[in-house]
Amino acid sequence: MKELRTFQTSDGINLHCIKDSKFTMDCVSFFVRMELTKENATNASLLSYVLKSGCKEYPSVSALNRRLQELYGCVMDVFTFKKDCQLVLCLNLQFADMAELMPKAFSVAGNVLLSPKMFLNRFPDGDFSNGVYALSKAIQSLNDNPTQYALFRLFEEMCQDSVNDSVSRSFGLSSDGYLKELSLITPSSLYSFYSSLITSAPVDVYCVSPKSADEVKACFEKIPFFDMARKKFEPVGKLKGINTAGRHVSESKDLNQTILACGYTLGGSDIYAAEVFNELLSGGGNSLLFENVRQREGLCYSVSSKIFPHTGVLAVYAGIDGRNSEKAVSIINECIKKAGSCTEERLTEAVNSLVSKYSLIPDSPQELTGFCFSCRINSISPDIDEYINKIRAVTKADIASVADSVKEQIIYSLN
Amino acid sequence: MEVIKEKGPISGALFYIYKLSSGIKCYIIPKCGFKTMQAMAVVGFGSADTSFSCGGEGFEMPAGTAHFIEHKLFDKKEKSAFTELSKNGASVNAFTDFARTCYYFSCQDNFYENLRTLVDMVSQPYFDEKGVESEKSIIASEINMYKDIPDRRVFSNLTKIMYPHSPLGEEIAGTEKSIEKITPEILYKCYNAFYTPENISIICCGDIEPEKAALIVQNAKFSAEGCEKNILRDNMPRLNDYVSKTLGISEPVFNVGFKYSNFDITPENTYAIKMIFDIVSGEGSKLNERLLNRQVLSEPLGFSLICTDHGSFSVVSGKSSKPAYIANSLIKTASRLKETGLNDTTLKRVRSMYCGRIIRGFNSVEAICMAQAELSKYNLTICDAERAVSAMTADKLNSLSASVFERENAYLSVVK
Repeated sequence: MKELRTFQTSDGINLHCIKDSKFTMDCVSFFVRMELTKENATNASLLSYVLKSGCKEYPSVSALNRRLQELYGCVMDVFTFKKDCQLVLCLNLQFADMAELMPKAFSVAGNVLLSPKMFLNRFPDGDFSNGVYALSKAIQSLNDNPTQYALFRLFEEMCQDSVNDSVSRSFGLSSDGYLKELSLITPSSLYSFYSSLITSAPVDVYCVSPKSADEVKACFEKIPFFDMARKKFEPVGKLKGINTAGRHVSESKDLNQTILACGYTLGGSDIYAAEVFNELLSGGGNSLLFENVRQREGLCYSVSSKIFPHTGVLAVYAGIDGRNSEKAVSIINECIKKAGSCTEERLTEAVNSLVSKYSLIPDSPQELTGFCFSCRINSISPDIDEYINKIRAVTKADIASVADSVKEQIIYSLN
Repeated sequence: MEVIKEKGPISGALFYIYKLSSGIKCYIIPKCGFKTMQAMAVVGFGSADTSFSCGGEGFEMPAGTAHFIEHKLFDKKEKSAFTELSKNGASVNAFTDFARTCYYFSCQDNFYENLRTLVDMVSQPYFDEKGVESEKSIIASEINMYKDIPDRRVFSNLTKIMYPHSPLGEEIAGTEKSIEKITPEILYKCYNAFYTPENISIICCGDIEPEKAALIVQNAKFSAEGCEKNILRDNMPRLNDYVSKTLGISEPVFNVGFKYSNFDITPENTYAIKMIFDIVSGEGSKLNERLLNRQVLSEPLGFSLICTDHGSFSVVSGKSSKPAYIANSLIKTASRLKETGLNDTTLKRVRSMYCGRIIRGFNSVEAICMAQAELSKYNLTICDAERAVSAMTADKLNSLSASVFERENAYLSVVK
């Protein structure tokens, strides 16, 4: 990977610059971190809509977007997402790498983040009301995508009863927010949330660009962030207190096919072995789930798995004919067992496939930013070569150990 | 090998276009510094190409045949090309649309070996009874999956009312009933009709040697004979301009379709239409702002332009409980633009936005291949598209603005 340079411009505000001359655009992401709770998720999501509706300098949606279009179609978005058990408000900028564009694009981002439209410590009623409308639609639309909804419900069911562990419970929350919490927010309370967030939350800014780190820093330093001590977050580690083994949850939505989602927890602390294990399951055309559930049994078109190695959660999901649910669960569990006792050849293929995926991360500014930020959240080195070497070092015994630690927690089906 | 070298006027990127003796066209776009290398085989055979003639005899194929071939072309007698490419470090995929079937891989090592596998796969079909039968349940599952996705459903309902007498009105993957009729003989018949070198382009992008890649493509041996494709233009008077389906979703999704008869598929025309959408109802438009402020829209409208030999149309998509109001607002605003004409400030802003978009597109090997795949069927390159954007004038946009979003060509599909 090209050199990553980090500058701490004030307490809790860090600028991370990756210079790579092959890129034709600059990609800048501002990540503002906070605890994942229903209240924070709802406030932060609503805030993302209000910030996008304009700022003092560009006071309407059209004025802001026309300014972005003038900057050679600079793309800007503000949104929330969940990273393991933390909530992140993100402002993302992408613009063509052209002379003089970076200071102008940074200036727009600074205006949107730090100079929103406000009057007497409250956001304008119109922007607030439009934001509430848009967010309420976004929250409800989660129900309209069967796979997305099934995975959300799987994690919610798995984590909501987690005994004495608020971090584990937060893993099951949506980063979009909740209607009940939304109804309690006012233009004033949202402004208070914003003021507190922008002065106390840690901010990490990543810039992947052909420009030098010093050039990026000079543009960044013009953004007048408040110089205040900010919160610190520790990595959450493996989820604790999840005990839903044997639980079956079924919901009906009158679908043409059933979305089957199986949730598992993993013990151990070897994140690299866990990733290889997941690659064995669903890494590509020669993965176990594809070969067995789709090709051998013809049970589905789409079958996949998703791993959260740091929190120790695995989900396997497929769209199937509901009459084949039991058979599919049995084959999925058979695949998990097979992965644990895989041949040396299959392990090598999975390792090579995963290594290839990680090696290609530096070709995408977005993926590179995602990788570095994930490493930062989990306090591990953002050196891709080091990460790859650890993947290469995974042995059959490590995989067997991951397979032994897999515990089926819940089977969720959406019909 | 005949080679033409071109340089993009906006991106500055180099393009090598090889016209091989076999008839295949090979587009190579070197990208130094990137580890990702991608190759894509683009076959000019899409789901709408269901009717053709060979040696004076006419054939009608079941809906979904092109997509079925896409699934089965990976299978060979001894092994699967999908598995072979995966084992060789490549990430593999394929897709079918109305006009094309595309097979592609990306990798960081063994590019030339993988390219040979891709070219062999496309040039040597193997369809057997058992393989074809077992694929039917997998494709049926895919068809059912799409039925539960509101965005897919609203689009397929739209094309059904826009093109009731054309294969453009059929599902790309077909139906459970239509794929039941598919046999190895049908697949071979279509393969031999359409998988000819003249109908195939190979696109390669990454840190690769153009001539070495072109030589591998040159050596491919194709046995397909070709055919005469029947163009099925559906210009019948319309039966219906509105369709609505209830799925019980939280907010209705809608597609407004605009059908263009005798559309000349050129980069100038396609970019002009896209720019007119952005001016009329894109994120910087007053219409978008008004719709957001009136809370009839919660996120910006989407736009796509679909061009095929059988017909071309555009689709404006969004979510709203008042889709007809949005469709009418769009048509009225476009009509006003037609009367007032476009000012230079707007043209300059929109043109710079498209220039920036083209430059950003060169940030990714995959994006470059996809952009070229859109154009190669019409013997065009990204350079042609860049030239069209650079040369776009207010006159060109004003002359087209009259016909892009017209009420008499409009159709509305809603899924609630």
